[in-house]
Parts: sequence; C-alpha cells; structure tokens
Amino acid sequence: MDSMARLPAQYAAALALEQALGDPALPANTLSMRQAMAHDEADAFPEAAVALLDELGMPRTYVPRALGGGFESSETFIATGRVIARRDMTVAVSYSTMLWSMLAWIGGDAAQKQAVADWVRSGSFPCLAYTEAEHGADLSANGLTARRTDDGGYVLNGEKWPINRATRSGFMVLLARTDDAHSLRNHTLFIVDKASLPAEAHYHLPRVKTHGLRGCDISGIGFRDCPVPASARLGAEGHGLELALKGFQVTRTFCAALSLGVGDSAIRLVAGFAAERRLYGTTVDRLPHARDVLANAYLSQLVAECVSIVAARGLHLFPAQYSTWSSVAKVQVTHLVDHAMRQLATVLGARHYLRENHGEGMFQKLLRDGAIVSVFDGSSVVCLDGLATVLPMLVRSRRQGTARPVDAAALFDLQRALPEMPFDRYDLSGRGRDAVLECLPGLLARLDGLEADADCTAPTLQALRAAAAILQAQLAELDAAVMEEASVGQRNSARQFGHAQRYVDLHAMVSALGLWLHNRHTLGGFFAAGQWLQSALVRSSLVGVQYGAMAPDLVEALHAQMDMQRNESHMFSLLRWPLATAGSPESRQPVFGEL
Amino acid sequence: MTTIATSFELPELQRLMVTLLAKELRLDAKAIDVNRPFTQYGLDSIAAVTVVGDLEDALSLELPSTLLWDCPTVNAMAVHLRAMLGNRELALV
Repeated sequence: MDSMARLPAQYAAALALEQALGDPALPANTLSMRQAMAHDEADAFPEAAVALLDELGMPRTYVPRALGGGFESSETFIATGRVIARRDMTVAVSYSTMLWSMLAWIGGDAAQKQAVADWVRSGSFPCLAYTEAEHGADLSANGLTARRTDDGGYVLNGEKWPINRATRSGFMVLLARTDDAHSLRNHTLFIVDKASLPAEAHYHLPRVKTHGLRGCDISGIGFRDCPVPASARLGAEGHGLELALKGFQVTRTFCAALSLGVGDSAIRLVAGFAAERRLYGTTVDRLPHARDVLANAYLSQLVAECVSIVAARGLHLFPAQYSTWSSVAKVQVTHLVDHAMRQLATVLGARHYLRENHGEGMFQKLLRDGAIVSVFDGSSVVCLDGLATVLPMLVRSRRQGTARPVDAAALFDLQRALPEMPFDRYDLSGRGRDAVLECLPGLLARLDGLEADADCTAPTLQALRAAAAILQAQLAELDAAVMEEASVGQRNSARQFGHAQRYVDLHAMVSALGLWLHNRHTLGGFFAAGQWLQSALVRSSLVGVQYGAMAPDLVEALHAQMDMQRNESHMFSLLRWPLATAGSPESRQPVFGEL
Repeated sequence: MTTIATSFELPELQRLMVTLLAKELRLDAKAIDVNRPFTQYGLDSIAAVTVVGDLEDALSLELPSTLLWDCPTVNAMAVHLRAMLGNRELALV
C-alpha cells in the first residue's frame, strides 16, 4: 500500500531542502510560520530566509549542469519551490528572480552564459526589468530606449516599474526599445551588471506598497543617458520581445510551485481547524458543507499537482509546444488553487480574516500572497486570450493527426528519466501540437484494456471508463464549438475565452488520466485506487465546482487520504512526500552542494 | 516533383497574405494597405504566429514562426515568400 511507494528520485532534493528548513511550526526556525507573519506585519524583506537559502546552496539549483550548476530537472525545480512557498511565498518570490538568469541560457552566447552562471553562483540576484508604468502587458509599446552609440554600445533612457528586486539586485535583464517603429522587432534584450553602470546615470524608484507579498522589494529603476557595453546585448538587436516571450514559457510553467505551496498550507491550516473545532455537537469537518469544501480543495490540489508535473516533464520533451502549454498549465493551476482558497475561507469563517490566533493568523496572508500568481508572467486573461487565438489551430492539428505519435510513457511515467532542458528550442508557435491531448486516444485504449485488481476495484474501473468516455465526448463538443465560432471584431469574444477555459480544464483531466495509467503500479495505494481521478473527471464534466456534486463515498476517500497526510505530516500530494519532522530545528549544512 | 506552391507569383502571394490577414484581424480585405506594418492593424505577437501557421497550410511549406516579425508588411512578406519559393524551384529542377 502507500507505505511501500517511494518518492521518485527527482524529488530527493526537495525532500532534503524540506528537512534542512526544519519544522515550520517551530518559531525559532528562519522559515517558520511565525517568522513569515512577523515579516509580513512589518513589511520587512526576508533577509535571513534568503541568506539561509544561499547557505544551503540554492543558487546552484538555477544554473544548468553544463555550466557548472545543479539544475537538471524542471520537476525537481518545481518541487523545491513548493517546499519554500508553503512556508512563505514572500521568500519564494524574493528568491525567484534568480530564475531570470535563464534568459542567458536561452539567448546568450557562450561567454555571457558563463558570466551569468558565475554571477548566480556568487549569490548575485537579477531583476527582470520589462514592465513600465504606462504599458502593462503591451511590451512592444514600452518607451525605455537603448540608442546605439558610435562604439557599438548603447545609451539607456527611461524607467521600469514595478519590478521585483529592482533595488536589491546585482544585475538585471532589461528590455529596451531600439527602434521607434511600432513593430515586433523594436525591442532588444540586455543583461547588465549593475555595478558596471555609472552611479550618476541610474537611480532606483521607491518601494511600492502591495496587498500581499509585503516584504518583497517591489520597486523600480531608471536611467539617464546610462551607457551599457555592446557585450550586454542578449541575442540580435530587435529580438528582445521574442526572447522575453520564450523565457516566460518556462517561468510561467514554474509558477505552479507558488500556487501549490500556498494551497498546501491553506488546506493544512483549515483541515486542522475543522478537525478540532466543535460546533453543533460535532467537529466542523463532520458538517456536510465543510466536508465537501475540504474534499474539493484537496482534490483541486491533487489535480493542480498533476498539471504541474506533466507540464514540468513536457518542458524537457516538447519545448516547441510551450507557447500554449505554459499558459494552459498556469491558468489551470492558479484557477484550481485560487478557487479552493476562497472556499476554504468559508470553512475558517471569521478566522480567515484574523491576523493572529489560529495558525498564526496565516490564512489571510496565504490568500493575499497566492492571489497574485495568476497575474505573474502573463496574467490568466493574457494567457486565455492567446489560447483563444490558437484554439482553431490546435483543433485542426489534432483532427489531421500527426506522423509521429507522442511517447506517452516518456511524458507520464515518473520513473522515466528526462533529457536535458533544451533551452534553445522554445518556439513562439507550437503549430497546433498538444502532446497531452494527442495522447488521449491511446490512454482511453489503455484504460479499456485494464482489469480490476487489488488496488482498483471493478466498480471504480467501470466509473473511470464512463467518466473518460464523457471526457472524450466533451472534447469533441468543444472542438466543434471552437470551429463554429464566427465572431466579428479584432478581439477574441467572451465565448472564445470560455472555450479556452474549457480547453484548459480538459487538458488537466487528460494529464491526470495519463499520470494514473502510467504510474499506478509504482505508486500504488490511494493513487492506484483511482477514486481521486474518478472525482476529478466527474467534477470536470460539470460546469464549475458545485456543492454536493461529488458522491459521498468519494468525499470520504479523499478525506481519509487528506487526514492521513495531515496526521503523518506529509505534503498534500499524489506522491508519498514526508515533510520536516515535527519539532525539528533548521540545519545550515548545504543540501545542493557548495557554491 | 513540383508542388502547387511553386505556381505562386508575387501578386498571388500578396492576395494570399491580405486574405489571411483580413481573416485573422477580422477586417475587410479592401482596408489593408500592402505597405502598412501589420502591427498598425492591431496584429499582436500571437496573432502574428497564427498567420504563419495558416500560410504554412496554404503553401505546404514550413516557415519560421516569427516570419511576420521580420517581414512586417504584406509587400515584404510577398517578396520574401517569392524568393523562398524561387529557391525551392531551383532546388527541385
């Protein structure tokens, strides 16, 4: 049963980090809930937490092995991110700018890659200077200019705001206008060591107050005739927007770690409250509404995990598809977790609004912090708009079929090793390919061929087949609706946004089905029993999550597993993932090797 | 072996581009000026790559997804495509 299933090897680093950080309930630990709340209340940057992560060797995890670092697997990367975000998303986000070094892996030459790898390993943080106050997501309309000088270098003029770590950064990845024309080749990307800039030619803008992530350095940076050398330019002049969009394909996929971390803590906090709080002669978790909400929140967490795991693996296997896949993954993960959080708040009642008392008053912080993930790296609206535009291409491509079928086992089987991250193979168009949905016919055939066994009973298997048939029919319905849509005007219609939303949901269901079929023998127990998958498929076939939609036996199965994981202090996960031992202090021994 | 694509001449390629652009932007084809940058019609980065997808289907050719980024008007696209198709005809002789 569950006790036999081991956490796949790619999760060992996350396990080690979790143990090193110690029990978050122990106030003395740097990444404890108490410290997280204290920093939030004081709007204070989490200096000590960032320093601890540095000491543990975290910078190495951002640098690919080929450049002397420890980055190997996106699945590992997301898992370690969850470990940090579940304790304090402010710490996770303050550390996360390290990820912008990736623009060098994507677009830099050999010398730039090595220089950036050295900066990162020395503990220098970048900031991502793309956004401007006046232009939001409309990056090609930005106004900060880089004018070429006679010596081949550039001179910067303008401001970037609001930027995470604009002030607290050693280098920056900067998008600057190099052509006045309104075109998609009017911006160029630069990676600049801030220490090399003349002090009088650049300045920082003050920190801006935010609703959540209160300790983060959200500020700005400005330039007045600031020279940068030609060697700071990443890729060709005019190719900045292309590189920026490719970078977001990876970082957007990694955002799942933040939502999953916050979601885990929210469920833990509310389930713990509901199990102990007595009302009407029973505990809150015995009240039908609360029980339904908790089961649905837990299920959402499991489905979001499926989406993130499959998307993380796809980053290695199908890089050309990430213009759409990254949007699909982030929209669905944030939607599932955000919805669960709002529902969980109703179970906590008035306590969800308190800044102290139950669980250190942490829930309101989780709610505030988590709510911003859907805006990061291309908001859900921007992602859905892009998806709506390419949906007809996705449908046509799948209907035509493809010459080379997807290797479903390579994608879904967690025991299968992944190839290196192909940083140079991300593309702005997936040409309608979607490896996950292309797998559906093969997955359905595999499901049909299964026989009931000790793990998965005959009734569950029958229910899974019925639900999978509905999934297939709903995908066909959606495809037809997409191809029929004939709206007028330059913008995607609300109905087309709705189609994109539905696509994202169905994609999640196929991800879950694929994971179940390819890992049931190795993961066993609750995973193999399949009731979680049955619940997810049935829920997806309805419009939105409705109270009472889940059958009582499924609610009980989900509760039993959630309670087991909570009582044994395990991550809320389809994997068997132990958390730091209760009462354990933090350790400062490097877990990711020496810098 | 030649393909349909090789029969496309410059005016046909211009007409094809105008048709695809009008469809993507949901504009009247007559409203499109062959020398005006696509972005001035509101073509964004994603729409620009979907037009390339349509072009690939129409010409049975594999094209770089950022082709409209590099050839930002109907005319520039037609000239570029004509040159590409010309090279391919030479290769097929």
